[in-house]
Amino acid sequence: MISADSIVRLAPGTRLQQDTVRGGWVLLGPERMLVLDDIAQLVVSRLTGQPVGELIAALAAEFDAPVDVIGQDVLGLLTTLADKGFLRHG
Amino acid sequence: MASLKPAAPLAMLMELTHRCPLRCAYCSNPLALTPANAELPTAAWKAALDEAAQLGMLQVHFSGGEPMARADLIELVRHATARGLYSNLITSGLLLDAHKLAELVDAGLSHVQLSFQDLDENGAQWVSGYAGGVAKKREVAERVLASGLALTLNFVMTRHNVSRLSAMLDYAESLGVGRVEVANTQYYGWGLKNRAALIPTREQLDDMNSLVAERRARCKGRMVIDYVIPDYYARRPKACMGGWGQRFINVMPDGSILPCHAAQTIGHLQFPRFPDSSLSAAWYEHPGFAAYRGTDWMPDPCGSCDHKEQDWGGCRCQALALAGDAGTLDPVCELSPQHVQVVNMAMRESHQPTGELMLRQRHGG
Repeated sequence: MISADSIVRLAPGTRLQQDTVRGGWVLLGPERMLVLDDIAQLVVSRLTGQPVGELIAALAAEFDAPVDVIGQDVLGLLTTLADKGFLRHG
Repeated sequence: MASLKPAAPLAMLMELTHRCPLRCAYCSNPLALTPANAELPTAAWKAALDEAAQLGMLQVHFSGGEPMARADLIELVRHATARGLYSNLITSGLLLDAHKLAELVDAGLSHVQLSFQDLDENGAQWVSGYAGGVAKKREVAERVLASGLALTLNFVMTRHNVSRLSAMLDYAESLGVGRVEVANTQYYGWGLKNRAALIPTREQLDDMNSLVAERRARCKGRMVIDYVIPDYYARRPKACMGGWGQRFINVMPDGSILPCHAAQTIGHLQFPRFPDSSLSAAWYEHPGFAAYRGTDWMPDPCGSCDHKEQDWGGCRCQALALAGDAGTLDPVCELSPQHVQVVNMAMRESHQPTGELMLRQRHGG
């Protein structure tokens, strides 16, 4: 279960890449790929080893939005991506 | 015919060669293997990689046969990296020594998928004709992990090694790999010839199902387990290749451009060959790719089925092999009139004493 204390990173062999032909961004991993929307791309690109809570606070400040709303969205997104095998957490 | 232009392909499976140190009885290569002297040269494979990137493909899978049997593999991986392609090496590991591994890392390889036929040497030798392979593969797995490359272990399941699945998953967990495939043999090519000797029983499948579910829960967040069952025991067919001509382009050792690696068994279809044809012309214009793409080709009741855009009608090669018609229902679907007969046959075979295996014969020419 991913929480504000978790440190989330890309799973082994997974990378974030621009799709130059279709536009947008994709996550590429072992035998899997996923097209990301702008928000997912932003969140994934900001996974730099900090606890998820810090990332949520930073995004809430940048977008001038309530921390609990941003927190719910970010945790939901990271959980979905982890369940699909694109992320690891500890 | 669909009037919309098909979406661009996402990935290319490159069967660089049919040469392989193993002779697996379940091999999905065609029965008529391509000899080494008919394989595409390095420059043609590089041109295929260039075009793959231009077309919008994102991943390339170096496969075979054993792709490491090609002397130019490193050069091809390096080329894929330069074109921004995610590169996956699908290998038996038997030719992957420390020097080659360092070269692959340097060339920018993204991921290694290492196959295990068994964890027991006798079991592995029985199904692959290769002695001492398990010990070598264990060394390779450790070497790959130590190099920092992402590693998937692919365990190929038959009724003879189901009892060791638990040990296989223990092994993967102890190594700390990020991903495991529990891949039941699919019955094409050599595998179809040997189905009676390999297919698990229904009871074994139930055991595998519960073991995988339990391990998935235990390893959540650490190790992904992808699980493929023998589709004979499924209620609905698999979405073969994610749909005919919808996601994948396969290029065979001789350059044949196919929607799936078994498509040449469908005798009334002709397929183009690289570099005589571009990948783009094959994908967007060739009738072989259009033949079973989307849903317009579907017979009843597929055309009105709720699952039609999930399984895309299953596997055309299997419909031909088991029902005698590539355009009919995949008989593993419970709605197929042949379903009961096919499943009963598989179940009967799974309980028969195992006869002689027909191991893949060494390169055809």
